[in-house]
Amino acid sequence: MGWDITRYAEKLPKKPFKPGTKSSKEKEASLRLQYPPLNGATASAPCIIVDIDGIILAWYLPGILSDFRQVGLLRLSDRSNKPDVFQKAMLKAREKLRTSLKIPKTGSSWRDDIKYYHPVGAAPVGSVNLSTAWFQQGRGVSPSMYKLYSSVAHSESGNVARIPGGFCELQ
Amino acid sequence: MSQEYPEVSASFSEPAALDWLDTISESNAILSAILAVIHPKLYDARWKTTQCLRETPETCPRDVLIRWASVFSAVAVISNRSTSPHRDGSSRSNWYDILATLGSYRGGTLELPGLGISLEYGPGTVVGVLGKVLEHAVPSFEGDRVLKSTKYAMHTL
Repeated sequence: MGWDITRYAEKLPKKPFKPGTKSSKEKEASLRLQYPPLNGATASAPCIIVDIDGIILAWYLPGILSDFRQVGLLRLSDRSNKPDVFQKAMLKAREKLRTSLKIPKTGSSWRDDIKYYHPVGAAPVGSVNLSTAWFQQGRGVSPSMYKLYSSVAHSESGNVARIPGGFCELQ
Repeated sequence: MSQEYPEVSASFSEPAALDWLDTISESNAILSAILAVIHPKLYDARWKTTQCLRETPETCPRDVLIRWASVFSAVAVISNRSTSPHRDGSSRSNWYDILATLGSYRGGTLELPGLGISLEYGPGTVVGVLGKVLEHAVPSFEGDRVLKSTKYAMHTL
């Protein structure tokens, strides 16, 4: 990309724009005027995307996970190809998670909107978040905790969108 | 309502979720290793956080932690859902979200509208992306099934 991701990040608000609203569309359009996207590039081979300073914006690793990690789903429609031991274990794992996968009932986020879910065949539909330590959805972080984050975890000052050193640069 | 300290997600109230962690542990470790290559400093920071969690059993029960073969603090498994263009607010500007897509389906792209780039998003693809800064989306896909697993680093302590 011909622009600087650090400056781009500084233009973003602390909380992401709410997708789909008129105001967010206008803000995205304004961002794209200042930081123009490429004209419809596509990639199918492994690559990285870098900004003008060589900061890596994305790593693209197509097909890096081999078939046998595909949660036992991959060849099940093709009966000539029976799942191996590992695939059977992964299939079992998928069934274990089935009870946890849910379509959220309500919510203000687009993530809870039923229109994005696609029930097909017997495959599970839904989503689940698993975390060792997080702040439950819909709950704010207490002011004292936020202060701690600001002083410890966020070593840089000012706008939290600022990209500090230690960023992965193309050598 | 606000919360003083981070805690284990409610999803672990389902005992099957622990079994799932056991089975998926090797794949979790591989995705952590990918992070170690693409952003070693973030990997180190996450590893320290994991160690810190192990020393504070009141935050996360031991039976979850011993099965959590990942330096990431959260895993979101999303099955058969397309994804509207969005940024992930809980992350940080210089942190990669690791997206892995699995299943048996055809087509599928990961769109990065702000970059004007579209990545072919076939089964087994892993993408590390600055999810807080860059808009990303997975429009409707064609095929029988798609199981998409998203992993991201949330707040670290």
